[in-house]
Amino acid sequence: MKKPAVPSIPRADAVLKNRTELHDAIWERLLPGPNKLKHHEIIAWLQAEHSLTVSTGAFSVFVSWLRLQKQAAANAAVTEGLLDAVKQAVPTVTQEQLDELGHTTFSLQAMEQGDLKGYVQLRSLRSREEIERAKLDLRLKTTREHALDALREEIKDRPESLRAFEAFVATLPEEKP
Amino acid sequence: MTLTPAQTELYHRALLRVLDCNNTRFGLTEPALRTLVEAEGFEPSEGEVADALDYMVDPEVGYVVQVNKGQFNPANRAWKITARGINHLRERGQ
Repeated sequence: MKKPAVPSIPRADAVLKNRTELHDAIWERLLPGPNKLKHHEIIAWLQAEHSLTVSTGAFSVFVSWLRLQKQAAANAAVTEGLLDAVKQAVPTVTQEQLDELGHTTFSLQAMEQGDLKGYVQLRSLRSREEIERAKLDLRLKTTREHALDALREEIKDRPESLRAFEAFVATLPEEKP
Repeated sequence: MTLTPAQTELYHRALLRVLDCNNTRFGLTEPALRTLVEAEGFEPSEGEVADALDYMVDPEVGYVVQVNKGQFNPANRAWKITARGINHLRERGQ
């Protein structure tokens, strides 16, 4: 076999992936309920009970992988149900047809969830961008208002200058939100 | 998507990582793999997914297995990772 072109650098989350006996216990602590723990608490539990040192980042990657595995299992259960229904509704359907329908349905579910994940990421990215832009606008507006206030303060004792200044300010374009 | 040999290997590993998330009896079709591998930072064409799978299903490599031949529609060809594919990932700490 060909020598790999990329050196084998272990990924930090692989340690957890290989400890399959811990997966159910970790999953139990991730699910909502009395046993639910926060990520850093699970990391502390792994360290204390199993002498496993895992960084927050590596744990996060592992959790994503575990969630996908659980999602795949749930999709498979939905697919099995659908195949049973089809088998009952169409007794003449062949096993080959059912198998192909199963793989396709299962894949479609995974694709939909993949798209949904991307959509949510895109939406949150857009929201973050909108928030940052709003913050920037707010800072700009504040800066301009402060500058005008400072000038006003300087010329407040000269009524003619103040009038001319206010006339000038009135001609300034309104700031876009 | 023009890839260097090193990038190709990373791309193959990305596909294997996607397949590794599925431990059910169903396989993933090529369109699904194409969509899911995007989360790993690759945007392959349909042909590039098929090429990668053809390489990895080769008996000398043996990282994936075709679990559905797409008898009724070639787009429904479905794939799963093999024990050798999982070992390949784990040996590289993935």
